[in-house]
Amino acid sequence: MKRSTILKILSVFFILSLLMTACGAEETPVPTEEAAPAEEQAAPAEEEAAPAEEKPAAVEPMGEPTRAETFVLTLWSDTGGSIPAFDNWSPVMNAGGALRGNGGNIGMSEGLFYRNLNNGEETPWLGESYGHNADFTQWTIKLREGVEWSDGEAFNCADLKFTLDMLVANAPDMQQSSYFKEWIKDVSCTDDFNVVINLNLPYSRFMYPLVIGWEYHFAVVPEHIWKDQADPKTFTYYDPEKGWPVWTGPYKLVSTSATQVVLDRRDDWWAVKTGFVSELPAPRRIITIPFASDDLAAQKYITNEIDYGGPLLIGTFQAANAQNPKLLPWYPPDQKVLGAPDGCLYDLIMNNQKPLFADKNVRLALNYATDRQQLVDLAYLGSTVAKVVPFSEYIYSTWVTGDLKAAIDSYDRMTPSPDKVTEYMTTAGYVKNEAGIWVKDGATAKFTIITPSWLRPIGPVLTEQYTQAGFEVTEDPDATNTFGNALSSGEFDAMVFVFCGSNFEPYDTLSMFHSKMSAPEGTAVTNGMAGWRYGNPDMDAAIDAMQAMFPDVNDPAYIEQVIAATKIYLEEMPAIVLADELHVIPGNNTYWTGFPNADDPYVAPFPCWRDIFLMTLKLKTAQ
Amino acid sequence: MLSYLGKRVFQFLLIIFIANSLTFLLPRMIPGDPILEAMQIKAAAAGRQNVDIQAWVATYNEKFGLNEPLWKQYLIYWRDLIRFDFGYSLLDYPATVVSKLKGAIPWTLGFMSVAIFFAFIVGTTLGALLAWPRSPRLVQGMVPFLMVISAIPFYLFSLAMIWIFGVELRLLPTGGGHSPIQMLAWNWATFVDIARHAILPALSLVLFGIGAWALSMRATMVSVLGEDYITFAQAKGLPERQIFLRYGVRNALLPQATGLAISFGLILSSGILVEAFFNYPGIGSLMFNAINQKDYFVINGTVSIMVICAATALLIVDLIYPLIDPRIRYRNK
Repeated sequence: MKRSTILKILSVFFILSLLMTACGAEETPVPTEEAAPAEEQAAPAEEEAAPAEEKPAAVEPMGEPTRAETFVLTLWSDTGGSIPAFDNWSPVMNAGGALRGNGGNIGMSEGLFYRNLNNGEETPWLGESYGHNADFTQWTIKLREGVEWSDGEAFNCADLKFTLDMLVANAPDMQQSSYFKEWIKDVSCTDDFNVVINLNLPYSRFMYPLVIGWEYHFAVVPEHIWKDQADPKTFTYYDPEKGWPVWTGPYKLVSTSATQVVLDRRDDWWAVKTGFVSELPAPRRIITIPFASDDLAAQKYITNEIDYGGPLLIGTFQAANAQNPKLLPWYPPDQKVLGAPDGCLYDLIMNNQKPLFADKNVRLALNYATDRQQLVDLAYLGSTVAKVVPFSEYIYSTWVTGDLKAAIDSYDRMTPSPDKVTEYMTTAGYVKNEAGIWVKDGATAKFTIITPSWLRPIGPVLTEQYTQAGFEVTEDPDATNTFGNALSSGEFDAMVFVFCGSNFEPYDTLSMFHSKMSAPEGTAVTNGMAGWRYGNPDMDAAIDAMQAMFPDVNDPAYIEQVIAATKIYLEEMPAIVLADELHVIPGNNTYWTGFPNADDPYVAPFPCWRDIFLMTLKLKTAQ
Repeated sequence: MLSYLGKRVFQFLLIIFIANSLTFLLPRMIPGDPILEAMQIKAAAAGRQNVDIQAWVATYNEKFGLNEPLWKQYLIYWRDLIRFDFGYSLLDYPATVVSKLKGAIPWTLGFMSVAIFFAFIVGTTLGALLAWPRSPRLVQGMVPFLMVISAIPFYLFSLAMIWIFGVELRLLPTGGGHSPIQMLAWNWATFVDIARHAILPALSLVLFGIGAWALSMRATMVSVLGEDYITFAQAKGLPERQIFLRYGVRNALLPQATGLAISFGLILSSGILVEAFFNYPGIGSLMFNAINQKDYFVINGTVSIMVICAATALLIVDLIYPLIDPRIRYRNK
């Protein structure tokens, strides 16, 4: 065979291979508005006889957005190496958890209300206000007038009623549906903008999923599209030909693939048209890509390929920041603690049904054997904050003051103390043998700590601390990811885990210690996060009392119950809270500024949370 | 001939049956409930409190047919497999496994085929020259180097190249299949961008592959050059170039070609770690993430496809072997 022939074959092969790669993107461009010139987008506004000055942006020649006009972010780290549901835009049947799994929460879907977890302030958005009757059996919501879906249809009460009815009818398959089915009796519209929701039972916290963005991700769907779907449980709400998905937000879906979701700014966003918001958000384009891994994300931060996204480990951030000083986390980079609270805490779950941990004296002894600051320093390079009570920083900053703070401080459960270990173990009937191990009735104080993979730094430190305190401890790193089964079934002694209670008031945190969260030995608990299998009638009484009240930090009666439950927690220590779970989420200030931080905490900085939409509106171009 | 064909096809079906049965059984032998694990991970990651995970699990078990007896699940598994229906992704429900495979396979085929082919061409050529006594000394001195690079795991090349070309020199992208801001379309810019992103992952496989191909070609070539017909060709006074190419390389290529066919059969499975390192959006990354997240249905789907590809390649090699090498004839006893 001639050399030239071989070269030709090689060239063809090479080109074919690369073409195969190119088609592998399986990118699905939306053929409708994107290809159309900006003038076409202005047409609906003209038909509505809107004043000419309302649509200058629509006639402005734009061209392709440059890098400086494009905001690039990654998904959160739990979504894996590809966009989990890039072709499924249903907010109720989406694997990633509503639109957090494909980046729709950043600019397309808007909430009824948003709450800043940092200070408790609420921002009404698609909703204007809400209220309730005296016994919390009826809730009313007033919707904002002038809101439009991106296809021009008006957003109104029918949409919210349809969404809630659909969730109730499709429980438990749709996200949040069990909650709404449990509480909602009926939903009605008094007019286009006033909704009445009657409940089956009084419930003062009913509005949480509708008011608090966070991980609730409640999204109203357009009735005029969804009502025609035969099976909303399989409806993916994605059809580029029809212009779906349709949302109310300032961005529209331009293309979507497993490696990239592209949103372009809509210049006919209702909020600017009605004057509710003074200007369009600065990024002309938002691109969401998968997170992949901590080190790959860091490389992209260093090379300015991304502006925001999933968390970096503390060491990775420090290395990245050394090469790109424009990366700024929640706290200034010269401080030890850099990350923002994610509302969870690291804790040691003890199975209170195991004979060893059934005795509260043993649990208290373990608490005093725990050197939280040493743990924080060794496991997390001092980059987080030691904690004793299960309240995340969001609750701590707004609720833990006055009498509640005094009650917590009075127990001094933070300071490690070998003397108190001895005192409590002796009270529990243990004595030390010649090897320095606590023994009772011939049996040593022996247990195993399971450590899930992502909490790996904690296990060895705790194991060593408890060993030095005289316990016979073995660490069991959970290499096969079977911690969930153990937590639910109760087939474990102790486990390092995360405690994710409430981020807005103490009830949902303390309620995790209600005996209804426990289960008899040998049967599964409903929520593994409360795998301590603990019960105390006094604790139940305090929690039940809180449940019947409206959570108000200024209500002494409510605070009294919070204090009562917290005291029981501190006296019994059914779990050992260790430290805040913080995440370093750098904002890359090379192309964009205006990221939330500790100095300007206008929103919690988590890109997977519903409220991150507010960050989109605050971004300013840096160039 | 028919008997040979039948035997090979039977072997092919047996491999598929055993491998897929193992793929079905092994995840189910791991202690614990995969649905419960998945839900627990989701709940912990999303910070959801007061979630009745057991209710979730019951719903999903019913949805995925996991509440059926094992034998029934097994039959359903084979029924679906024959229709190339691998079910739904456990974690990304309602995304189907097939949709995930369709998105990932072309990426892997693209960069792996280029990598395998380049490594084969360069490695085989180098191997032939290494065995040829009249090659330049510089070429012949490359044997230790090739032995070293063929012994180094390719993922170490990956790490080194990410650091050198991606982070320090910033010449090439460090990961992904394309730039975040590159709008994917059928145009030159997309083509160049995708090619740039394929360079480092492909290069790490090529570097490793060159060593392996070169050493195996060298060994075969040395053996071929010792054959009588080579001595006879030299005695006839044929030109060196002709002896090298037509008598040496041509005869030594047969096992290489077989190896190449097998390499293409293993194309989907041989780059898993490299894809994972570079977060390349191919089937390797898909499988790596599925294992990490315990998405059993995606694992089943990817493994099944890999097994089918490899078994098919082996079958084809077996069938065409007599055709490409006239010296080989299979006969019934």
